[in-house]
Amino acid sequence: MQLVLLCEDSQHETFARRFLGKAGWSTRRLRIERVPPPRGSGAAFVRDRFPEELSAYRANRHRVAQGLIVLLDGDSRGVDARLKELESACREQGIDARTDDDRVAVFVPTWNIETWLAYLSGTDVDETKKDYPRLDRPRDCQQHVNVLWDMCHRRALRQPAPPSLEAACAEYQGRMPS
Amino acid sequence: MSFTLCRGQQTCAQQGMETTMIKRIYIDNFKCLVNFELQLQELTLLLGPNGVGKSSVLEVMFALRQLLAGLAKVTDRGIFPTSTLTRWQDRKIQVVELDAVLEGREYRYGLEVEHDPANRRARIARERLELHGAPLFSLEQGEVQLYRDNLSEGPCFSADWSESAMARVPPRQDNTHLTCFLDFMRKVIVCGLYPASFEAESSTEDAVLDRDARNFAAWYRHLLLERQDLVPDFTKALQDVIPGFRGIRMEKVGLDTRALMVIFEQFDQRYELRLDEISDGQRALVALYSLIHLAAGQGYTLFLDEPDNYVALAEIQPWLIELADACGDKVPQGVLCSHHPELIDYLGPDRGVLLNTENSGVTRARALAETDVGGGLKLSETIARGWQQ
Repeated sequence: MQLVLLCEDSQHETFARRFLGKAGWSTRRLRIERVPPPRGSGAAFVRDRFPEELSAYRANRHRVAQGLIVLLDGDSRGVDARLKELESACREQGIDARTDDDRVAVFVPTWNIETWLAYLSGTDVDETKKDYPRLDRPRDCQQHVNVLWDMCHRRALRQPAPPSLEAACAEYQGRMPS
Repeated sequence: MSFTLCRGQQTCAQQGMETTMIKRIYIDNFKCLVNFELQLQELTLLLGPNGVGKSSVLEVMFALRQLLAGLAKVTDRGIFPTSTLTRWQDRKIQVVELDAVLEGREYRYGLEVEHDPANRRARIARERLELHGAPLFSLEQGEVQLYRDNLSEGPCFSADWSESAMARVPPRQDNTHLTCFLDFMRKVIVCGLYPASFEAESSTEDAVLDRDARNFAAWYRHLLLERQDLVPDFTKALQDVIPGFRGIRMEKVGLDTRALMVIFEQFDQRYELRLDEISDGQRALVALYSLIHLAAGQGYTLFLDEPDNYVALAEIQPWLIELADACGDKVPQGVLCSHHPELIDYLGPDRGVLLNTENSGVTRARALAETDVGGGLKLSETIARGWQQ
């Protein structure tokens, strides 16, 4: 496995996995780590697990590991606060926080992934609100992934775009392993 | 137990989710399954302690498939012999019901098997198929009443009680709904792979994969005839999975007999091995990926017992992801039984159904998505500790 995907739930996983698939990452090169039940504490799980995965990535990056992808919902806190939480979790574990040398990308859909899905289906969204519906089935996100892939490819999100998605695009361009 | 549809119950089809899948299985008086009901999703993982009835669910599905394919009589081994009656009670009737949504239409199939334990005999007392609550087929006390697609009464006749009379109904222009259900059930695959039993040679093309997949080569020949176009995708998948794998070919070794040969290119050499010469794990991988890639789009519903057996740890999640993507799309439905942590942790939280034995001895099923278990531990760890109760 060359890329570990640490995320909250199956919608995160499916969305990220399919996007990575368009970028050429086959399923066989991914290892999925999702939040165990019970639900409701997904971001906390990702935050707690992050130092361990970051440490494992660093220990193996010169042999097999090529990167670490993290998805956690911003909820009411947003991107910057979530990134600070991850830094703080590393500090508590005695691990250096993420550096520019680490191929570690953190995506923080805010309020949650449904905000991005609504935006990608053509709706103008407000990411400070938890207003957007879940898909019936996680795999129904393929068309949303296709739209995002096209926008990313052109480096042009439809405006107005949710700030958390703008941040995710910058993260993708700057930190994703090739 | 009545075969009447529960009209007040809103189903997925009524909610606009048109799918082809089995929604519910009801089993009464079969081994440890008493008044047992199981709701299924597009992909479902059955988990729970040993002896709780996971494999019994698959046995019932296998028995139904064999009966409805006209391949077995009710008392045959592995179908509904008297030895399958629940031992701690003395009721003589076994009941199985199956609710399926096929292309948006709701079917309910019901079967009652009446046993005579003293003489170790059994017969089908009732068999019935309904579409949206209206009968398409009815067998009562040896008398069959057929109904047409427009729900009008068709012919009636006497039938052999020892086998499914419905399986003997030939397809006609006015019974397309009944035929659709039979076709669906005949494409149910119930399998617990036992790679050591795989036979490399086959003299036939088998439409039905055996319970242990021993006839894999013959089934592969059948699939080749049906969908040659799927082979490149299947080959590509296995090239990614098995180092050195290049392809499969059927070598003529007799008048009608062919041997399944696996072609490798490795260490600057090209060589071939018969199916029974590659490792158990490689045989399992060939079979597992064929169930996704060669069965794709052909309506095969998969019931797989311990698919993780024989497969290397690193290979389990990639196969599961492919299966999860395929279910509800290229493959109508998958139902897996497993104790493996990889399956439990990947599928359990969303798609797991936990079977547990109550104090009364009765097995109950509960969806883990609706259950508060775990406390932050991995689900496999929770189950290993017995904390899922």
